[in-house]
Amino acid sequence: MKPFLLLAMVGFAMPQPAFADTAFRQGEWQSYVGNFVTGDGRVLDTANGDISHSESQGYGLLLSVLADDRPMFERIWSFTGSSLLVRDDGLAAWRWDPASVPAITDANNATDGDMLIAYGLLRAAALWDEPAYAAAATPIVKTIGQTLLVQADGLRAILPGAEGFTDAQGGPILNPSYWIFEVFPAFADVDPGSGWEGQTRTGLDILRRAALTPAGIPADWVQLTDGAIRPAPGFEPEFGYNGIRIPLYLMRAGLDPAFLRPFLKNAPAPDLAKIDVMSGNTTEPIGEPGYRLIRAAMDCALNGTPVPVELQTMTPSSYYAATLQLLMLDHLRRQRTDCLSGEV
Amino acid sequence: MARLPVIVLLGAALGLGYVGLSQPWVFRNLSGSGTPAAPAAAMPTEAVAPLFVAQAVAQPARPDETALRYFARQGDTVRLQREIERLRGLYPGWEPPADPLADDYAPDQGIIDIWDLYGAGDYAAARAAIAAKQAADPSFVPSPDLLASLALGEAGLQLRSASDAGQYDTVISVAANHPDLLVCTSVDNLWRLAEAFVRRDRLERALDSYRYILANCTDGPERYATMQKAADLLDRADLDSLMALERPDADGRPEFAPIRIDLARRAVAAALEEDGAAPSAADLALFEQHVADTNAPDDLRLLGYYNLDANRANEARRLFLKAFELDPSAASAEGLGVAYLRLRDFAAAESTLADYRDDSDALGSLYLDASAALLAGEPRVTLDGGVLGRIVDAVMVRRSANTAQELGWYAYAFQQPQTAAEWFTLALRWQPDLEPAAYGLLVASDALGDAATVTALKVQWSGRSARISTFGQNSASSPIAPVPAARSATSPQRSASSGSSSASSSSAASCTGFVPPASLSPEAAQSRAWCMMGGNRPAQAVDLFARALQSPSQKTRSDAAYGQALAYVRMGLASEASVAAAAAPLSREKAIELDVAILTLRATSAYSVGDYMRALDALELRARYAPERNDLLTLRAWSYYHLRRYREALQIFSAVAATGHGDAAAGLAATEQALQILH
Repeated sequence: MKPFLLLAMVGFAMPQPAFADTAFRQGEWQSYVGNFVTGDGRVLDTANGDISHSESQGYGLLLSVLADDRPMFERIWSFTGSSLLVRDDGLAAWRWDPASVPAITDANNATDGDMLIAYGLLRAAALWDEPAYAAAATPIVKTIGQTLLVQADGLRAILPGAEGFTDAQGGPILNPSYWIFEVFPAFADVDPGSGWEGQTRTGLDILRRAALTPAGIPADWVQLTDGAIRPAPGFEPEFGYNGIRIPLYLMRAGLDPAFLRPFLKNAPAPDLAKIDVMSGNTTEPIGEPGYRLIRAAMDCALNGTPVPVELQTMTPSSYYAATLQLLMLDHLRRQRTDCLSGEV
Repeated sequence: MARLPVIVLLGAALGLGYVGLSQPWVFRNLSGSGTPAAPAAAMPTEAVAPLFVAQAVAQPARPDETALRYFARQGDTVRLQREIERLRGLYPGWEPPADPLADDYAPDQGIIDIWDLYGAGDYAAARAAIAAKQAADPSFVPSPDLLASLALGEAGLQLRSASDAGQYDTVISVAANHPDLLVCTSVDNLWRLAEAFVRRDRLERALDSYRYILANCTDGPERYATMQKAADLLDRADLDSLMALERPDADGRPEFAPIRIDLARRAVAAALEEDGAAPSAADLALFEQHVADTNAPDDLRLLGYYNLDANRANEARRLFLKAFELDPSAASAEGLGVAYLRLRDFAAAESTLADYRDDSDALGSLYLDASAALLAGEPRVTLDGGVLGRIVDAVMVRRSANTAQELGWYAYAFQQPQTAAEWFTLALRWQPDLEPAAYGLLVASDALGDAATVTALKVQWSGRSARISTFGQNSASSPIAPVPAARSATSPQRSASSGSSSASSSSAASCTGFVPPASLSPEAAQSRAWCMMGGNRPAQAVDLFARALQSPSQKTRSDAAYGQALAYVRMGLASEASVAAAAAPLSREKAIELDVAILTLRATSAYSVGDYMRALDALELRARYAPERNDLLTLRAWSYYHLRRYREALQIFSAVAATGHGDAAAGLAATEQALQILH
């Protein structure tokens, strides 16, 4: 795509200064913004009817920081704060549908979305030396810390939402991909004592329990019971689009690559895959470039295999795949340039 | 523009001092000071000044007059004056331009663009543009007025989003932190705040908000809309206290006169709800006067139903006639038809409803009720061919078993037993357990000398209808005229049609009169439906439960599904009952109760059409949930008997007969006789 067209689409976006602290290439980031961010600061889930949600806004904020693009951060934050962060408890309503009036079609929260928003704000506060961002993040972190870190089979765990996840028999329903490992140290700093300090361990314990199951990886929605893990009642016993973020988060947080092994084993090259966790069988490939890059990065981390050249630049296929690809590229270009040896 | 006079006063008046359940969300202040932007209206100039002292190094020598000239162009004198004062404070010796509209000043186009974005409500783009301008020019400092304006715009958006999402604590806390949102020019914000207070049970604060509008805001349509909104949320006494703030409108009339009528109308309509309170005499008189003055068909009909409910059927008829004359619609015909039914003028009811019988299911069944009542009238009147023709059409289209059997009795009364038998047979095909039809077929068959049918009916209905099983035992076998009392007691649809005319409906005194289900709230429809069930009027109950099924409350829906299924059982419609039972989740107990009732119905229905295998299947299924009563054991035994499984029949008949169940004794005798013939 032609850069000037993209600039026109994003209105006031300015060319990034040459000294910008980012691992993104200019065309990459402009392509992401041009495809997935509206002029009024909404990050579109293009595979789901162009709705927005607290997760997409949170990723948008974090990526703006990683792109060192403060105007874009301001744009996305303005929408997020005025249109989603409206819940009485200070968290974000999770779903915003442009085709609906009123646009908030579900006022429940999605805890990972809230975490991403707060983390984006904390990273922004540090990068641009702006305490007001941190001041906005702190109540979000504290509300989650004090109301949504719950007991699950002896562990302190992240409840996926304020409503609807504690009614099932056998303990709360959890989502292992809500353990965004890189956020926990920052959250423990602003909200000490709520239980953030132990969340890395909880997240890894969940993966250890999953390692003992037939697939070796957890379903997207699970329950912890009797020292083990099982698919949550009422959900498909399936590892899918939620869980594929787990290896990405593990790598970004610099955790032990051994945890990646079962995820790589369940990813038939060159794709990731949906996995029936009861049988361990592959049910459907997950194959956009953004997803393939996660597989390639695992292969590099465990086996030293270089990342294929065609995956080393972001392809804006869908909002979700492009988002995960940028997060993965940010990690590889900053931490693992050895994996990008074939890069042109 | 009326603003809240003093912020402190507002806090006291609206009770905002102790809100703050959620942390107010504060937009970042891009001046770089790091302090959160103060709520716009709460930003007194002295609080701003130190911030700019700290920034003095970065201040250009000449003041930036962009915002000043922007406000001038917009004609925003309040902001213009504030900006002049601000710049005077920052630049001693500076004088504002003599003509702020003059072209002698070259403003920064970038800042004008930002204000334009703000003016278009595009706050996100304005934020982005400020950040971009700062990135390009580190010396650029946005004016506090721009930042405050943006923060206020964003807060307004947040308040509306929270209000739409039912997050009322957030609404209250945003309003508390941004009192500048609460102005007459944004009356919608005040409405939303008032609603938030109502929803959070802080009624006094809600009333304060409404009173603030009525005391300060002058826009007539907005004042009027304020009262309309209050009327949806407040009770009558509180509304009357707001009414005291009424002013004369442009023509010197009380501005809320139509609201008073609307409140009176609501009071009259509320009386039609189940357990609804009667309207005050003043409300009723006001509404009656309004109806007399305007003759609006909707109001005529409402007052008509009110009079029906108050047992003033003649007045109701007058009102519905007027409505029908002005608006010959289905709604008017329905009301008029109901009034005629209440007055027992069945011929008028039938003829009024005839043209509208295909407009809706409700009108269709009302028409059939009227027709059934007309046919059943005593002494019998001769109906002309046109009337009979359209009744027959409606019966066939809607497969009305009840009206079909009334056609049977009508034919029988006019010495046409063959025609009567055909109608009774048809009625039984549509509703196999309709006892009056079976009895009619018995009487007609007897008159026709059809002994085989008479015997078959007596066997099928043994245990279920005394007058069928004992037919011919006492008197001679000459056919006697049907006993109306007996029929009306066992014919729910007929008693529904004749309303107050039949003895059985007196038990349903609290829900006499027809009220269209769609005119009721789901909950009111629900309680009316149960009342109908109490009065043995399941057909009406079905429609009312259907309305209740539209409730957003799962409990109401569940109760409605249960009730509707029971009503279908009562009407003998097993398949419809099963479908209804599946319309909403039911408790285990209720689900079992319904299964038992439906299976009982399937068993008796199957038996009555001679399908003994299916009767036994249904009984087997039923036995999983509940023990078999004597009458069903007898039905089971008769089924075995008809299937020539005499041993099993004998076993059950013996056991049941031993308990003294008379019908079983007859079965026992018949079975023993059959066994003797076999051996």
